[in-house]
Amino acid sequence: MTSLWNDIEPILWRVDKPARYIGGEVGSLEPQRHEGNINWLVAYPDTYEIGLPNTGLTILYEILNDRDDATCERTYAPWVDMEKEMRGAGIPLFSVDSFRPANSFDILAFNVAAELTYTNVLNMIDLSGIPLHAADRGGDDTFVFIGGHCTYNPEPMATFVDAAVLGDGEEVVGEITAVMATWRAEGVTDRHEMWCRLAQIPGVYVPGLYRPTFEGERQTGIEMLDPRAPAVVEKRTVYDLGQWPYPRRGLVPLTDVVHDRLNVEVFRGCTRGCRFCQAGMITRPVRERPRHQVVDMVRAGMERTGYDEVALTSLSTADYSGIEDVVTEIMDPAAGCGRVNVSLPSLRVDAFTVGTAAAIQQGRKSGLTFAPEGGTWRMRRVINKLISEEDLYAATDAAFAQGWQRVKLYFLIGLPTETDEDVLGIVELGRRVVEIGRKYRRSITVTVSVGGFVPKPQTPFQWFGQDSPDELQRKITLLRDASRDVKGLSVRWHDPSASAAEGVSSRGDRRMGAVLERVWRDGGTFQEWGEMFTLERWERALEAEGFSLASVSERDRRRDECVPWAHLSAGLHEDFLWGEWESALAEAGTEDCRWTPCYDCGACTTLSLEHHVASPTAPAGGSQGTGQGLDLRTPVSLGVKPVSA
Amino acid sequence: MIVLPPRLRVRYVRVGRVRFISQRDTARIFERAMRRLHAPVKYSEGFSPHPILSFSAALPTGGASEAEYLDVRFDSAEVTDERFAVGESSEMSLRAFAEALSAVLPVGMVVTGAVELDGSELSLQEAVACMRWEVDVRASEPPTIDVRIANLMASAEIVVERQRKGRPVVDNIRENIAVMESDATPEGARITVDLLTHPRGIRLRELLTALGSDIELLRATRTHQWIDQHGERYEPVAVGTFAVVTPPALSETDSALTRSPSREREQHEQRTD
Repeated sequence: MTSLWNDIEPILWRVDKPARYIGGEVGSLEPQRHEGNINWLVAYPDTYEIGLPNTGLTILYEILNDRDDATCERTYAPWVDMEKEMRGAGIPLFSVDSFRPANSFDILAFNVAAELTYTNVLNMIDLSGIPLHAADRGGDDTFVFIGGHCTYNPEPMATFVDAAVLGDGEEVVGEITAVMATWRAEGVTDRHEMWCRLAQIPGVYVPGLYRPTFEGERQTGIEMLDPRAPAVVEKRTVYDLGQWPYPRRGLVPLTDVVHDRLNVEVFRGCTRGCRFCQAGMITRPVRERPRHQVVDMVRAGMERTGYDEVALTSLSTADYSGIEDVVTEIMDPAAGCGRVNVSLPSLRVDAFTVGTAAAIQQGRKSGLTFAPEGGTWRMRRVINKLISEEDLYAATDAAFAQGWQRVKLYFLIGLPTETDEDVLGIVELGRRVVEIGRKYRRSITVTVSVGGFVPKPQTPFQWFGQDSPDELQRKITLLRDASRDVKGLSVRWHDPSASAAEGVSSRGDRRMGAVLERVWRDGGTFQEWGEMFTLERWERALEAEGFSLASVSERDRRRDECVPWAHLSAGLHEDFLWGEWESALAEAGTEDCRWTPCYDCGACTTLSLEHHVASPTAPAGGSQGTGQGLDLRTPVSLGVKPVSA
Repeated sequence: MIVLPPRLRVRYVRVGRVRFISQRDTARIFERAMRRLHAPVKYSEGFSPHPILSFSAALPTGGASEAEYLDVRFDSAEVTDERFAVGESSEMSLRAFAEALSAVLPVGMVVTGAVELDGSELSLQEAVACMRWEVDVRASEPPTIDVRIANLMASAEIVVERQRKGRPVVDNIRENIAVMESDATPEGARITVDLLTHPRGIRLRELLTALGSDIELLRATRTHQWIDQHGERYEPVAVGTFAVVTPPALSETDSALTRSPSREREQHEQRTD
């Protein structure tokens, strides 16, 4: 099928930010299709500005287009005004590379990184003219895939997708391409047979081959509908990032996007072991990119893109072995990286890290962000974010001393075992940081930003029922009142009702699919955008399906309950997760296993891997999770649910 | 080696799908293109130095143009690449630079001329006095476009409400319209209009609104921008002109500022829009 550009062009005058829909980025391609190619359309279910910088999709775009047997193009969620014009003019979802309609592709593959984007996935499938439910698709229909962090509980999306892919995508996309090319060559048209073949690929979960069983609000088990469906689907892990120096071309947008800079991924995985953090659990083990390759990728990237800034990305970049050497080399004019600003988007909370940040910061020092996450040392031991107050004060003191004037502190509220004292501890920390800053300058500001905690699958907190929106609001009011008289401190918070809706998909079972469909049909797209979100829409949908926030988001799970993701594995042993939950209740810390003996979480042993780091010693400075200065008190039982079976 | 002059005025086109970017986007694209090229662009002083690029009046998002201009300064202190030097340039160097710059611009953006400045010129924003637009429109109701234009041109005053410094003000845009004509097209009409930019510019949308609320804008192309000097108008850089500052002993207007109608026609035919 040919380009829809002539139909699209006239409506672009009438929509906001039309550059979202024109492609043409530096590094973009207009792939030529050849007989026998498997044609992928990779999609980000949010606006272009959010989706374009996504490194994962860019990597797959390049890897697939480098293959002879595949092509790959891109699409993003059209904003509400554009969707209206498209539906009005009968224009389906299209690729921004060749403007071909989505249903002319073999695969529509979404990156799902946030649960609140799920209704956009439904909308985009519908806009494509592809049957919304996987069960209604025939042999010729486009396959709908999801990948990304949310796939560790894909059950709420199970009825809409043909497959969910767990873990790193670099290798598996080629295997999927080969399997599809084979069935096409053989003339296979039976969807069930296709599903079974896909399910043979490690890391590919085909929900249509499984049927969960329920009793009341709980899931009791999961049945396999075909003997070819594996009992457990393990995630995919790329062991050596050095083999995958992607993105090689990158995508430089023509218009404004978030993170508009060169992004070079320096490692995957994190073993700090923060118990609330899904990313830190599901991406183990740690795999660092070789140092010389980081520098090569920065040099080539700056040359190719014309950017003047590079971000070294990972879950905690200060933990990269030899981070200082790498940064020094990049900034050395002899390295040929040009006039470049280096940014480290994830700072560790210690003075040493701030020193590194100060050394590389050129120009104005505007704001610096830290994430202590918990307001008291007790709370931080529960969540295993082992930052001492001394660390935080030293870090912020260093920041103000180096000339930064705005410090932002991120916290979670609604954490397990949280008391009002823990909540008020957030304001106390903020107040102390203001005092520290005022030693240097009167005009400094400290912003405390709080988000409502949403428990995530495959983490030690996966059993914990999250706070209701009312309870989160009560805690926010506590914070607001307590901070009112503290000059220089401002408190900001994430909408608690959005956290409640996120919880529906985070740990919900397959029956939440009908809830998502109702929310979408009720106009609930772009639920991550405050102006588009109302909790009432979610409550109506839940009620219509016989559920409530209390029965889904706020309910503690029992250990003997079959969690909806029980048959999906990120390598972690269930008893490791439960052990960590018990340690949380006991306020006991767990050290970072990069530098202390293995405690067998399962990631390395299950996958027959080990950490791939350049340095066997912990980075200098700071105590966070490195075993230095851990003040472990006698474990105290807090008597908080969930209970052991 | 390309020798660049300290000050250069560049002419370029923006046509095709890239016209849906904003003026800010356009500026950022030129900054990045200059960096990819390793062109020794002079940087501003201060906390966050940025390349010194100045553009003519903003092109609206969605508007195509065959006559956009950009002033850029080069600095020998910024030379990092052996392919470039800053000093006494030549027509050949400017042609080579234009070609190299076009190669790193997005599809639809092409450099079509470049002349050296001696530093005494007004900025583009100050100097450009008039611009011509070709606008394809469709009206859903009578009267026809040419009748509306005649009515508009016959009126002494066309008022629009604008915000200035946060306050509503009323301006008369009649004095911006120098000439306006139209030709019937299968879709509706093509309006050709010469708009004056001083003392205050006019937005294309304002003009179309004055023609009627039922007007649908289909395509718009800025075809010319002119500098007015002693009652004569000329283009800041004519298409296909590549010239260095004429040595003082010779005539001042010969090469740099002479229009080249044949090249312009050629360019017109190459429109990919």
